[in-house]
Amino acid sequence: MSIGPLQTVVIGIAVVFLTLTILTIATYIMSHVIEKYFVEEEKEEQKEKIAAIVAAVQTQNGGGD
Amino acid sequence: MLDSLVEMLDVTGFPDVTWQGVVMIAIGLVLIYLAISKKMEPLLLGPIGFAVILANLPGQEHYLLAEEGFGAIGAFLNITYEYTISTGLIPLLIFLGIGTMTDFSPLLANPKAFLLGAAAQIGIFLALGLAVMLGFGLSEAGAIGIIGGADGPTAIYAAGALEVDPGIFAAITVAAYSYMALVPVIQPPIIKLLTTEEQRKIRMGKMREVSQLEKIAFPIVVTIIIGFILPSALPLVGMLMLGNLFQTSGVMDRLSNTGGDALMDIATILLGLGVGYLMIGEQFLTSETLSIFLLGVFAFATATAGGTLLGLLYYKLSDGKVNPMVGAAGVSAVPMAARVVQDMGQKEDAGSHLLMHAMGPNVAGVIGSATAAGILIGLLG
Repeated sequence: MSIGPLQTVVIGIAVVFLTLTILTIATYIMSHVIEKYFVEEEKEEQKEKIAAIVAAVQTQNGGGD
Repeated sequence: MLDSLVEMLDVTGFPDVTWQGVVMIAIGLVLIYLAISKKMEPLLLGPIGFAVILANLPGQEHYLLAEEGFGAIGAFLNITYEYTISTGLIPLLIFLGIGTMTDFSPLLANPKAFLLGAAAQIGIFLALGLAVMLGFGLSEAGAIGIIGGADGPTAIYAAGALEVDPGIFAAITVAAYSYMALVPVIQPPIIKLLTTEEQRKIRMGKMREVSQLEKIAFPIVVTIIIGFILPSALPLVGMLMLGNLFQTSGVMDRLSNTGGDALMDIATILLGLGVGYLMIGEQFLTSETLSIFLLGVFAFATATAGGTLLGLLYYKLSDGKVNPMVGAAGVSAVPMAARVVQDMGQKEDAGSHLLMHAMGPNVAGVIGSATAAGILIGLLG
């Protein structure tokens, strides 16, 4: 089946918007899932690491400049 | 003695001089001037200009352009074009390089910007319609329309995939890259025409921070989605996203550096030479070339208008919180289009910082133009 110019224009614009709309929704979902289930864990891990470093520094004797 | 002199003359290039060749050499000089003096896309227009001169000096079909006979194996410009550009290899490698240099954080921080990138692709399809009205075939019209995507590699890839004539191919390439450099000239009047001073003064707030994991997941997610929805766009989008993964992963720095630096430079040199080779006077100096340049301006202007109009809709829907100018950055000339928006914003209000807000639609436009190219290749290829 051959396609005409008008059909190409209409289908083209519609598919560009459809594709990028799907990418928009997918990006929102991806960001939400990562933010909710992974970034919090990352933050907790970082907090623990920082606390451990602070504790280590506080227990060190001397030093400083 | 006279006979010997005549024989000597035959050995020189003078008997093969044509007026088209002379005009093309002049065009080559202009391109080199623009590249060096005006700094207009110098990395590309420089090699193109030089290759135009090489290809149009008299008698070069025997040495640089031969398809058969002596010099065929060594027909450098011919091989460069046939094996690296018409196969789509070079635009794809350039897309990989662009991926290593692209930061999708502003788009991840505000995914609605994807739709601004979509709106700016309208120019591609309107130019396609106009090209058909002017007598171009549908495949040629599609390839010409891609100039409106403001994305040189995409225009080249689409023109190659749609198998347009070499003269049209060269005109599309030169128009696409020239207009990318002319973004700061073409866009501001259109943006001013469609927006008010008050709208251009709008300041936009700080964007949210994007986590490293989002940046890593994004190229993988986009690749898989495009692969399922629009396989014909996957070569371009896939390479863009692979390059981006090199950069965001944090563990592939060597690949990222090579892709965005040495490999990109090699691809750019080959692209410049191969495109210059196509600009042979007899094929290039036609009324079609002039039409393509005019259609390119139309495509670019309507693309800018499309993005700005959706920006105006965002402005209305957000109760005036979105500066509508950011929509104009949806054409994918990265980062020039975003810089234009930033500069225009600062001219109206020195404290306005729109750059990162404009970068979202800008990088979305890269994905949008690759998507549009994929659609046209799928429909017309």
